[in-house]
Amino acid sequence: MGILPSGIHFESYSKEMAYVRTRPQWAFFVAFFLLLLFLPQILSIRFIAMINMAAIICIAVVGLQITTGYAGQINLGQSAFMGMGAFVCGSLATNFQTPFWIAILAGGLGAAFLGAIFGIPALRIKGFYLAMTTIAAQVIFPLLIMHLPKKWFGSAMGLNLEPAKFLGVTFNTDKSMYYFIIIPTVIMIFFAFNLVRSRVGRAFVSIRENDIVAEMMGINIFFYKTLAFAIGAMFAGIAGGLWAYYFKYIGPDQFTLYFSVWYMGMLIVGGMGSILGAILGTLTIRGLQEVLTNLMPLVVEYFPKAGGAEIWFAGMNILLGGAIILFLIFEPKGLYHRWVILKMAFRIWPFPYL
Amino acid sequence: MKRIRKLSSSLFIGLFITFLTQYVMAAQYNITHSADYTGPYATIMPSIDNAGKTIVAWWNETKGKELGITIARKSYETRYDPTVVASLWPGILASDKPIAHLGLGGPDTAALAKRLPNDKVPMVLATGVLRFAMLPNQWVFFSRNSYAVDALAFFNWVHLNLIKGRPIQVGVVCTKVLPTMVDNFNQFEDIIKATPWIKIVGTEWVDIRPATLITEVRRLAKEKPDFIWIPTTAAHVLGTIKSEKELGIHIPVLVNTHNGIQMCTKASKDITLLEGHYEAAGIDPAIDLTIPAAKIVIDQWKKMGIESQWDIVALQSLLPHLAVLVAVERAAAMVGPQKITGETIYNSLLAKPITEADFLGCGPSVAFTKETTWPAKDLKVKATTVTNGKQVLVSKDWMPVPSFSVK
Repeated sequence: MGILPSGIHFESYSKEMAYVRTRPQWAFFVAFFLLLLFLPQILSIRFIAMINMAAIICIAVVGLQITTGYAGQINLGQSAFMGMGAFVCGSLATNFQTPFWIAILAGGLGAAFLGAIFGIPALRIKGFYLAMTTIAAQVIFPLLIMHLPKKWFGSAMGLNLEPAKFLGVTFNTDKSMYYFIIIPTVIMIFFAFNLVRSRVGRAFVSIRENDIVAEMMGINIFFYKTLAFAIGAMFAGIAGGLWAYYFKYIGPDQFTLYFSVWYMGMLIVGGMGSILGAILGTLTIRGLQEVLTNLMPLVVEYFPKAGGAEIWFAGMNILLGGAIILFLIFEPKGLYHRWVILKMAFRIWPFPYL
Repeated sequence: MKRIRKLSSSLFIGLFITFLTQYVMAAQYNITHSADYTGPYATIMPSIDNAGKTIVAWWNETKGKELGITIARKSYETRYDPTVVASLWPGILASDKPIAHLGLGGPDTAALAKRLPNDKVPMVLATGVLRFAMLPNQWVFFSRNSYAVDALAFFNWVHLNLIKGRPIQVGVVCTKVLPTMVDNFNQFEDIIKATPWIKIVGTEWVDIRPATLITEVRRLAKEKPDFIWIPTTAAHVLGTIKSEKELGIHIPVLVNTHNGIQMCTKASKDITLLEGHYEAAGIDPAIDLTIPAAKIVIDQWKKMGIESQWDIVALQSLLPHLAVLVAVERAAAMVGPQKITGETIYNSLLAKPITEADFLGCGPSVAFTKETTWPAKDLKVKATTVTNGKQVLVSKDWMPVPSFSVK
């Protein structure tokens, strides 16, 4: 709980524990939602597309935060779980013409099931070994898709989806997809914020801090570790379902270890153990990627003698990797920590410290 | 009165000049290009880019000048990643208003195929056709056959000229790490089912970067294949050939252009390794410097001061560029040079076949239709082999692809 201005007090525990507690906070909260609602009318289509992609990835990274940041179970297979969600969703949509919202939810459940399976070894192994197990999920996933009957998941050819439709609206433009994506994103983030402060969330944190002590306190380690994987994977699965409807084509090579590593990088930049950190990390890394992607062609165009496309385009990965290294060196607690310091400084201003 | 007359005549002249300038001034259009300097295309991307910008520059100086059209070609780094393509594309669409986009492969197709009909921008690719995009009413155009079809044409030639009395026995080296390659194998397998004169005697699924392929090649050799078909990477081709050498056997290997003789020679620095092995693809093999494209591009490189090499990568890059440039010429004839849009380019791509002459000798004629935006009729390939340390044509003429029923 942060520091509040003097004179503000609460009469019940639930009010004190609420995320939004004061009137100005409510005002900001409502203004933020209004902004989200009208963003497509304000921003250019380029920014809307950036937000769409970032929002999908954000759900997966928030899921990873629950598994890794809260429950302390390292997971390098988040992209595979996302793929599982996408394929379950895609299969239901193409083979059974299931309404999109059922297909996306089912995708989340399918991914949760796969996540739970790969979470089982977490009872016996930790750290590096657990990371290896989750990498196995990443390796097995495309093989699974390619070897299951073609009718199920399209095999190596993948699946083509028709655009989602709801109340006469066809979601096939960037603006319509914005609403299609942002609503589940808000719901999933709301769910994540509440989950981590629930009994389940506290169990996750206790396992992260010391699983032996947690077990002695009566927490069912096997159940909660598996649950952490299942919930994290469910987030990825929902993100996968949205991905499927966004691209309208899904292939087994779209969900690679490369993405899983980037999701982990987003967590590092944002800060472990905070939902807001996951959001900040996603927005920062995606934002940086977008800035570099836009900037480099201009550099190549206006400074043709300064190395050319070969140097500048290839340098993008170095810059992005460098950003993660810099965060690890200078701010290992991530952007969330910076945000907390900034918020605190603002609240106690003009005093330098409490 | 005199003053009024003077004023009106200057106004008339002014208007006339404005009209004339508008008419005479070259119309400028953008074509955008996906680049990948950070992913799998990184090593060949400079060559792709050099060839692309060179042919556009040549076209602007020649045909573009005649038509009063200038084409600006803009590259965007997409990292061969569908998420980058998806988030980048709306910005490209809004700022550059491209009349066509040149894609690199799977990520571009996955991210854009479904939205291009709404965006009204056609995309042309240089890769072999991807089966997941073989759907009707696509705005994604492929200028080349799939690798499985290329192999079928070569084996048909072998069946007609070398092995006549019995089915050709084919062994395959493939990898499951690349789903598109698995799909190529699946397509080949589907075609073989309806082709009694080819038989797959064994398939080895190998690692993406194998340390050695001796065990796999030995196992495959036991099945006595006449050829080993490798649709995957140059590493697999070189691994298989080196394993054959170590085992003291020679089974001719059939490859395509992306893993072909020139790519393997670049990787191994030794063309003699490929002696007696074959390459077959639905494009010119880039060994003949007398084809119009080679002459034009090499001359233009000298003019522009670009140091680059005429090879299969440059040639592959030219195909989609030329398809779009020909479409621009046709669109200019259809609607006038000032009124070209993505939709008119799409319509002109469909209007009539793009001939071998249009491709400046880089590839055979292609006739696109709304149902098939990939080579679907009168398919042809050219095959080469290495003899005495030199890449030479197996047959001077294009080899026809026999009819086959599966997609």
